[in-house]
Amino acid sequence: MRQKKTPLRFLEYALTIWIVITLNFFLPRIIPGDPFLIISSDGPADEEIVLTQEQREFFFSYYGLDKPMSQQYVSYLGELLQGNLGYSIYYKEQVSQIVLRRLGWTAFMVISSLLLSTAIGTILGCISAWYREKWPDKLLFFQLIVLAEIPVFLLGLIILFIFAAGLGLFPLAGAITHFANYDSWWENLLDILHHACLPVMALTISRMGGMYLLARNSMTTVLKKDYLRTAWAKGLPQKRIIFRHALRNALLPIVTRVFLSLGTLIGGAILVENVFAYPGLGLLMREAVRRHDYHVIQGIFLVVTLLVLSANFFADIVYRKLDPRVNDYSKKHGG
Amino acid sequence: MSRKYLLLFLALIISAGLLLFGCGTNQVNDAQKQDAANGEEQQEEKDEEQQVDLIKLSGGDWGYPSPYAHYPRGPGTRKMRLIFDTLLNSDADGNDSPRLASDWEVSPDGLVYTLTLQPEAKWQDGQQLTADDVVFSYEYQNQFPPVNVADFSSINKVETVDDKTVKVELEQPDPFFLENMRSFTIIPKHIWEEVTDPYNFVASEAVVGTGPYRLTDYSKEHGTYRFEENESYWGSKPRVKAIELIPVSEDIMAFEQGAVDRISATPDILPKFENNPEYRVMQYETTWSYRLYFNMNQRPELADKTLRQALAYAIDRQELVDMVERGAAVPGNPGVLHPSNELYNAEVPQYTYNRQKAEELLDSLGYKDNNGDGIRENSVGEKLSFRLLADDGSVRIAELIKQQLALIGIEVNVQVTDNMTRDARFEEGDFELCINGSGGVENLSEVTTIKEETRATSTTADVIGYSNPEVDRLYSAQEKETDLERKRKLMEELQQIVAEELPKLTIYYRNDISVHRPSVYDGWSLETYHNDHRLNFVAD
Repeated sequence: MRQKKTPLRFLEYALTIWIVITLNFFLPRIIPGDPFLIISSDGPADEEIVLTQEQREFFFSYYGLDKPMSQQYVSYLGELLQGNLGYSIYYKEQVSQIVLRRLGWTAFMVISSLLLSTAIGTILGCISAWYREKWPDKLLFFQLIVLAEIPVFLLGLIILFIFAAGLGLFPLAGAITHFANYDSWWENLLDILHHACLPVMALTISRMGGMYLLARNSMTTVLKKDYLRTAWAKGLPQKRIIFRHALRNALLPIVTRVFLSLGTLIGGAILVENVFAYPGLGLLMREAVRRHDYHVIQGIFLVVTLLVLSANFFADIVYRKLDPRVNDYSKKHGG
Repeated sequence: MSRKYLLLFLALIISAGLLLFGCGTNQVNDAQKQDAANGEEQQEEKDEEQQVDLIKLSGGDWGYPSPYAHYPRGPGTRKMRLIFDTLLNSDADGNDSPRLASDWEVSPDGLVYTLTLQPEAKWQDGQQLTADDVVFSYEYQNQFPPVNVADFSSINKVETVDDKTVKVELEQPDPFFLENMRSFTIIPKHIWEEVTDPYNFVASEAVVGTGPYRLTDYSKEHGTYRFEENESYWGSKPRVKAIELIPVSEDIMAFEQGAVDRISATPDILPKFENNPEYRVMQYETTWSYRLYFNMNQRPELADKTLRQALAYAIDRQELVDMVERGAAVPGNPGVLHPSNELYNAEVPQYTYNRQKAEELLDSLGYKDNNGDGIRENSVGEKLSFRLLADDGSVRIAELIKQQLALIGIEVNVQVTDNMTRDARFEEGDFELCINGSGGVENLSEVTTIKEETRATSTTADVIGYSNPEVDRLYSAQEKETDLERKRKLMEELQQIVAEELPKLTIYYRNDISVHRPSVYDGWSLETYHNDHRLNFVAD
């Protein structure tokens, strides 16, 4: 059954990717202004370099922007098929190289905070569900909802303010200590972790609320089930009942959520990176959009799309693995 | 319930922020003038002082500092200029001063310039700088324009006379020739002659120059640079041995923690640093300005100068300065030039805020509020209403102008876009009123209809629908005039007409404020407000 559906599914993904690529290509080009149009600047400290009309034309043809849009589109698709993401107009470098260098930092941040927010959110959700309607539940519920409501960049700023500026426990910005010589690889690693703490903390806290709510709801439903009454009646320890018997069964929606939330997490990461000047894709994306650097915009969005789609794909597989009923259902109705 | 607490929580944070940042700004100007004066004294003392080992500044990636690979914005160019020299430079008064060309002569017909190169100048890889390098730089950059281009359009030929002398032949006399040479970057022939794609050339040889600093570390990913003194520099000894640029998230916090040694500040945070001997505040007047443009094609009634004058009377530029910039700006001169410009004409009409005068002018044009809705109409009953295009940076100015004009019965609808969109619409003339801001040039050429193809740059947008042959004549006459007194006369006349007719209205010129720790380094120039400008580190 599933094997039959796979080509169709594959086609679906391919179609999605093609639509995204096309949108990525045309959207930035529809926005008024081009990478070489410079009339204004932001302020005294940041003046722009002005090109003469001749030079502007030179660069237009150098980057192939003088050709008709359809022709540019076709050649872009051709390049993509060869694995070439193009050349950055502003950064003057291959887009694939720029993106690759930045991707690591974003991925590191996103994955760490995903794991942390899931673990902490789930544990707190279980505790809350166990003490439903009692004071620990009320307290946790209130605090986590408040935290989840704060926009992630504001949360980042508050954290930066308290832990880096106020207490001086963490560096203010960046991903490593610059111009430093490390004696060993682990000193280097410690330095990276030290820098990552605050951005990861901001992202984790902002995601925790959602995870907590999900875990709490899921647990509450499971806790009402008969087999738990049995476990309870057997006199099993409390911890064992919660984390062994109940949580196992409550996990399914949580795991799915972990994968599905990758997309929004990347969105959050972009904001956090801008607060902490963390050298990931988000910082790059903001600049690329501001500069109308078409190729970089296309490159970043394509990579992010691929990441989110693969996360969805895995969510699908995991969901089927964890809950055989999903398969049974599609067998009955799909076939 | 959670929402209520959330609001309370946010209110607490905001008020805490306000407390921390302080609010008083009144003493700003006096204190800064005082500071500037102190700075001048200390500047002289400091020249005697010995070198500072290290200065840390806020960085961010502005590209590889070769003439071809840095990004097309000022910070990229200034880093490149720490490594690469030009032939000429400008002194504090804006006159040509020597750099790689120690001396120059002009033939009586103004067609041939003979430039002598610094005898000591050496490339950072040890090779001598020769006249060949200059000729090569010209030819190469003619073929491949670097990021920061010099205007070569008047040059006919560049050739060597001997090892250290270059001759430049012009097609016709060009009063701007020497000034253009200030942005002509000299690159080593022995390195670049092999390079066929300069925009992709990012090897370590690409940053071999003759300038005061060498690049010793650069990370594109992290946005960090490290420059060290070039021991074999031909000019005066740099006052700072090494400059490190690192990315910071919050300038003020980074500065307070000592992560960086100087920051650009906004007027709001000044109370934190003023009257504290640990810090020194420097305020610079700049010619960077916000301007209001009228599109006389889309709205023909704007072609009537009386209406434009009424708008000028009703727009309280001083209030805009006080409210938007907290006083750290200079109200715009209707004659366009900044009051500190040596050609500034102080006699032009100033249109000091006068609501009554504005209303009288509108009355005289027949705009009356007949239906009592607070908005004036013309004789056929059409509302006097304009769309005002602004970007997110100038939205506060736009909103205040809207309020000010509402008082005299003019309706303004503010349209906000990102600045690239604003620029594109501005260039296409797709607006009625538009606020635009830029620096570098106090562009009187905008109000002319003269456009030499080669000089046309993307910053000089025409003022749409305005044409005055007298303005054109005066502008080209002053442009060709080399005698300063006669040039001043022409410019005064020109400013008089422009201020009278107001083809565009300069709203204000923004000041730049910076704060540094004098104990770390106090050699900051009073001429330039850019942290990374070489003038801060080298006397040249």
